[in-house]
Amino acid sequence: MLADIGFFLVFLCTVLSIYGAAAATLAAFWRHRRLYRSARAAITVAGVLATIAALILWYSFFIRDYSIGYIFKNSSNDLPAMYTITAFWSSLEGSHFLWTLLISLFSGLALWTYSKDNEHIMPYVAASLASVMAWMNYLLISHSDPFLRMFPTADNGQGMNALLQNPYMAIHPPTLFTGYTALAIPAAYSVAALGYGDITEGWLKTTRRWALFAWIALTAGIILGGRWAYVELGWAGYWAWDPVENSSFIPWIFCTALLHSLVVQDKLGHLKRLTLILAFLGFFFSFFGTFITRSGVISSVHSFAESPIGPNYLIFLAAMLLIVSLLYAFRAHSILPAETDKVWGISKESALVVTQFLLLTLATIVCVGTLYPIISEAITGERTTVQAPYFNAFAPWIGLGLVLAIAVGNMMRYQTAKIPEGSKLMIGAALSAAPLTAALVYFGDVMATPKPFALGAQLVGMFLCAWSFFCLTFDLGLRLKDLRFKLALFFKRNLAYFGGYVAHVGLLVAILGFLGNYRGVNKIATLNAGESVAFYGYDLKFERVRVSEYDNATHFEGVMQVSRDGRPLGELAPARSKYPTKAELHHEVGVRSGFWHDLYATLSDFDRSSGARATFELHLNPTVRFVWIAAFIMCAGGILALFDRYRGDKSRDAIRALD
Amino acid sequence: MKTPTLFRTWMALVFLVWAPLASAQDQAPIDEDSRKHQWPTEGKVGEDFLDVAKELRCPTCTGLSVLESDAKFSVQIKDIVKEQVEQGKSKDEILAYFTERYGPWILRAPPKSGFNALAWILPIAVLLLGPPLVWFFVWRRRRVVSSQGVRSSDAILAEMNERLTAMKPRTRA
Repeated sequence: MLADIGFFLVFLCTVLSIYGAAAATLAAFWRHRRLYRSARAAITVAGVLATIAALILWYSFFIRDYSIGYIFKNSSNDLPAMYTITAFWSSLEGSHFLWTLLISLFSGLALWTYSKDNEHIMPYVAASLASVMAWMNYLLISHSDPFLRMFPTADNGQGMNALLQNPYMAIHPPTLFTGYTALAIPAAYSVAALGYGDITEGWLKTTRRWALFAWIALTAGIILGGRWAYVELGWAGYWAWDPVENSSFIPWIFCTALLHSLVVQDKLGHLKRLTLILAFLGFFFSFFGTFITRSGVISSVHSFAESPIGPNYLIFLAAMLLIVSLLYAFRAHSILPAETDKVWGISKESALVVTQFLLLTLATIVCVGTLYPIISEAITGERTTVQAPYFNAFAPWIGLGLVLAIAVGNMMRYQTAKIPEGSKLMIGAALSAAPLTAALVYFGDVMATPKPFALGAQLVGMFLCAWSFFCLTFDLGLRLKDLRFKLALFFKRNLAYFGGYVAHVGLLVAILGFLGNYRGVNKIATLNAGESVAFYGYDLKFERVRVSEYDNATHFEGVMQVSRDGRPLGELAPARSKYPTKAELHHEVGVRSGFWHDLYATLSDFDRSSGARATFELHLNPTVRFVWIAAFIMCAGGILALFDRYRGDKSRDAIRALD
Repeated sequence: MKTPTLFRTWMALVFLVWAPLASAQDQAPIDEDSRKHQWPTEGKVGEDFLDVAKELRCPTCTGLSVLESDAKFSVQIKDIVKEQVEQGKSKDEILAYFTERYGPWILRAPPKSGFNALAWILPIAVLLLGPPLVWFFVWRRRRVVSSQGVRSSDAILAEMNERLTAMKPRTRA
């Protein structure tokens, strides 16, 4: 009964969004205020109804209503409470529902919290958002219906995929989807600017805030996904350049490029049309990625069974691309370039353009690599594979370029090639970076790298990251000095800059973390009970395979005692776990995390009859913790920047010597 | 008491678990004999083995190399690689051996020949040719600004210079 109400509510949302889209479009053409208000009301109510429908689904999960097919497939009687909540988005229909719910809520929020200066473009914004909502709601009632009933009702569900029963996987989808849907608002504002024919006063501020919010959510979501892969999947890595990982990375790249483009637009009024394109493409690729992975076009760890959702997505994406392209082709000329003369040449602006180039090249490479198997099969008929080695051939170079651009770009000023106290800063940074690099090399034991190229890459990479960090910090010091170290004043006016500083430092820390992947120290060891293996200075003594039951699974743990130089350090117990509702054994990795490296072990095999013999894979993962710390730093930087007032400089079209 | 329960649990699980064993990485069963395989990881043989095994994909997993995976198929491939490395075959020879049997799909990145060379050339081309192209089409459009901050262009300036020269009073030589 409740499920039927839920479905009916979603059906109402569909009707309301279609009405909202139609009314808002007409309101835009006729400049009709009341029609716009009606559209806005419809969209708001759709958001409220979607929330109620979601609550109904959650409630049904908790009362274990297995007459709803989705609940039957994704939960079971023994599912812990936390995972019963997250079962909502554990499969296609539910995750699509979550996405729709988020976009309805954010659309409502965007339509009620706009800048007064933007009032006349809001109909365009509403029309864009409502049309996306309408399509997503339509999918919810047709191909992706979470309320579909299943009779006769079973006593117990099929249970949740064991891989998903992990706290990181619990928060990764909502965080990531928040990022994707938040990107819809800058895209809607871009369409509005094109439709209206100009970029209005408050446009920049609103777009910047939403883009920042999306960026924070995307950064957090992506790194949470990486953390899940690290602790759950058992191959000792956190990023495999898997198609679904790539399809979350591409919107992140576009969002980053958008933020930098908005900076230039704010200071100089340039790159307006690039901003519009980036905002749209970021949003477009968030759907595109979902399309290629969920429709089964490319297989990936996230592939659900092929469903008719694929062709639907294709039509939507094609229509969206066509409409916005036509809009851009006909209306972009009305977005006038800035009044300032373009002082091309070496300046902060050109450094930012170089950054855009590097970011967009990375996006291209990731996109080409992800799509290449389909393309090559379509053209040559031969299947090819594109996995990590392809992407790892290019990404480090772009990373290198970005590290340099961060350092140089932040030190430069607008409209002048002169870096204030440039040589002093750079040499000072190099001198400060040397001891820091030495410390990193010593404590991180970088010299243990077996291969010379990998060693060289780590040394150079670490030095450049350290140098870049000091360039950033000295630049910050310079600006503080300009204000005579009045910190309160500095933070009142420059929160966006400081947030950027923190986020850039976070990225450098992350790159330091990535450099650890060059180390390549691992071992496979088969041990009898009581035997030890020496690995990277650790002594690992295998005791026995222990069977334990907790949560809702049976765990076979390969218990090892870890010691170093005779000092016992504790237990490491990588395990394989068996859940009652599924046949496979899953990995529970054993990790000893330290600041400088992780000792990572998985149980590949064990003697099932006696438990006295086991095969372990041992990995040394240096500087992995840096990546998780970097996530916090980057998100902190983003949050700081969100609080900037963005009053903007009204005289931004004037030529200024200082930035 | 705990011990009989544990023993019973073990016995039950031995029978339950033995049959439907499957790796989480793929849906094929773990090779029960994989513990008998000792992969060479030390010395030149070990290095070569790791090198080659890193470049072959696990046919039944998504995204993993045969080195990273312990699925049955991967183990079989690793056996063959180990054999050939011990025989002294070079990396290219072993990769060619597998490509012959499975097609270029077995490699983790597209081979650098034929149509697939495009996959490698495109990123390098964008990285190298991109900046000059951007510079040519975008940066070169310089706008000339007169001292009053009025925008003009080379053509207008040339025309105005011409007219000014024409308007100048002719001086005697």
